[in-house]
Amino acid sequence: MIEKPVYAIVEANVGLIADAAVDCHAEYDFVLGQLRAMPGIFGFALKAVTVLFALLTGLTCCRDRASRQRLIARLNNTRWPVLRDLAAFYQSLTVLAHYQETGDV
Amino acid sequence: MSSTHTNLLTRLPNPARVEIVVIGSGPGGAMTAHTLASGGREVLMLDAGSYHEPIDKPQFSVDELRSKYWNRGLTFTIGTPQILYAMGSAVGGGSEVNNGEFPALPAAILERWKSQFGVREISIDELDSHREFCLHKLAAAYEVDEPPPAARLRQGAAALGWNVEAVPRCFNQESGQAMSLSKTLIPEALDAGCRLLPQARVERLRRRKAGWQLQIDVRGQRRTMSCQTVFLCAGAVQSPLILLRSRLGQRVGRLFQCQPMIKVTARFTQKVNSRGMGIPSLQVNQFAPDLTLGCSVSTPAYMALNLLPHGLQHARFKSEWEQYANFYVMLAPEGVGRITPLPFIREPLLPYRLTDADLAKLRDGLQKLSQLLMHAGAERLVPSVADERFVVADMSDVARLPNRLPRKTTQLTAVHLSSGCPMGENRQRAVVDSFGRVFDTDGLIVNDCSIMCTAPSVNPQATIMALARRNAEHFLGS
Repeated sequence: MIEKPVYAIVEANVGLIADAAVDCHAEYDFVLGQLRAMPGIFGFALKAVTVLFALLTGLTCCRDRASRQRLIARLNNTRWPVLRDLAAFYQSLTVLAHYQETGDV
Repeated sequence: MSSTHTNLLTRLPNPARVEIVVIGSGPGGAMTAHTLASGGREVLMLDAGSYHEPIDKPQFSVDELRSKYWNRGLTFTIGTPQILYAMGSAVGGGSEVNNGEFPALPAAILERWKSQFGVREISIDELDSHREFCLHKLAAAYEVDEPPPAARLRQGAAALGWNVEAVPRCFNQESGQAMSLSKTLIPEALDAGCRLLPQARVERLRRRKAGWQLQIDVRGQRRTMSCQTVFLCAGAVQSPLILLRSRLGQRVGRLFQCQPMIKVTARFTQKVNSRGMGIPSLQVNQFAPDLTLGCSVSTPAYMALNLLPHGLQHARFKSEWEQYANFYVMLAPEGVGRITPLPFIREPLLPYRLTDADLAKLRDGLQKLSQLLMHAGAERLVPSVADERFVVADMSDVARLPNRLPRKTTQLTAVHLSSGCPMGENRQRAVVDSFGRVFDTDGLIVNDCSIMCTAPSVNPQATIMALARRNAEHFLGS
């Protein structure tokens, strides 16, 4: 239940970082791993908000990578603080994982 | 130390009864175990984290974050501003993930502990002598070649006439690797007869007629063992939490403190950064003990995270990252947090409220650091405040910084945690006496960062180890 929206968020953010369509399996594994390591009540709350986030936005229904990226870009500027914080949280994890994975710099 | 050392255990000893159990193998626990084992006592050290072979993870890498940090680094306080804090979770504790800085405790802080908490029979000279012992054991030294960010910090401070201080670091001068406890004190403790069981998380302590019974989670299996004396050195959050879960002590976890930092990512016109640079250990102590300015972790990923809320242009950043470096403003706050256990959940809630005065000091510190960095040749400063009004592009911007830090968009981090079980003879405030003994409880001694009465205003590792050695020697003497 949690995996598809997380994958979509990571995929969109990796695309934004890399300025290109790229595979993001390592980043996805990292983000999910961090999510699983979150202590009890916080992890549960985060997963619940993520699922709600996906339901509200239809995130997993977006058919292609480009539309998912546009949606994430819109969410980064939403007026709802919880959604904005959630997007920022996943974006931070994705950035950390992406720099580690690519060893670009 | 090798993972095949005979005193590095994979299961509890049989019979499961020893003279002394030391819970935790960080600066407090390792020093305690080393002192007691060298004194001929039977010691078993337990640690919730795993043992890692030396130099198996690059410092400040994501791999390290995943394997050596408590909850993989995802630990934070409740409140505004929220504070992301980090704790080591590996054999060697915080020493495995920190920069190995080894500054002395400021005399003003010790005087504060004496006057407010009634700490007795302690002096700066005594702490210094224990620190000297630790400096030798951990091969602490001053950096010979000053990295460029430190040179910039020194240049800016000189322009403003502010004091700077080089701090000794525990590191190997040839390899540049931090000399953490798993490479230094713990192997010596094991050679002296101490045994160590990693991945053993103590849940509760129970008083028994002839000592203590410990409930332990050993690699997912619930076990019990007994001992005469417990030294509780599980760290700033876990030591108070174990006492609270065990219903031991009074006022435990109510004066928890951390040293929140605002990070500033500075862009210079020339290269100041390189791969594997580490954290330069130069500090501006002109405004200590309230505020300290210094250099922070400056890996590309950490700098990118700081730039993220300000519209990071990844492509440009990747080509220019060597012109960037991270700096910090660190506060010794007056605000405190409270460690609050939750039923059925292992981790506590940690509400923490910084006072308005704390935020005013942090804002003041941010302005001072911005001023210093502009004098040092920076061309753009981006602080960890998600508010464009705090971004600085020239000296006039420094003067125009808003008067208040916004609580909701200021992002703080902390790596120095303390004070969940403050020491002293003032029973209205202290949890343990001046030697770490829990009041009215025989055979239970807290001997880690928890017993520091307030945030020490500097990296606490030297102070923790000095206090731990002092208290362990006092135990041996008594």
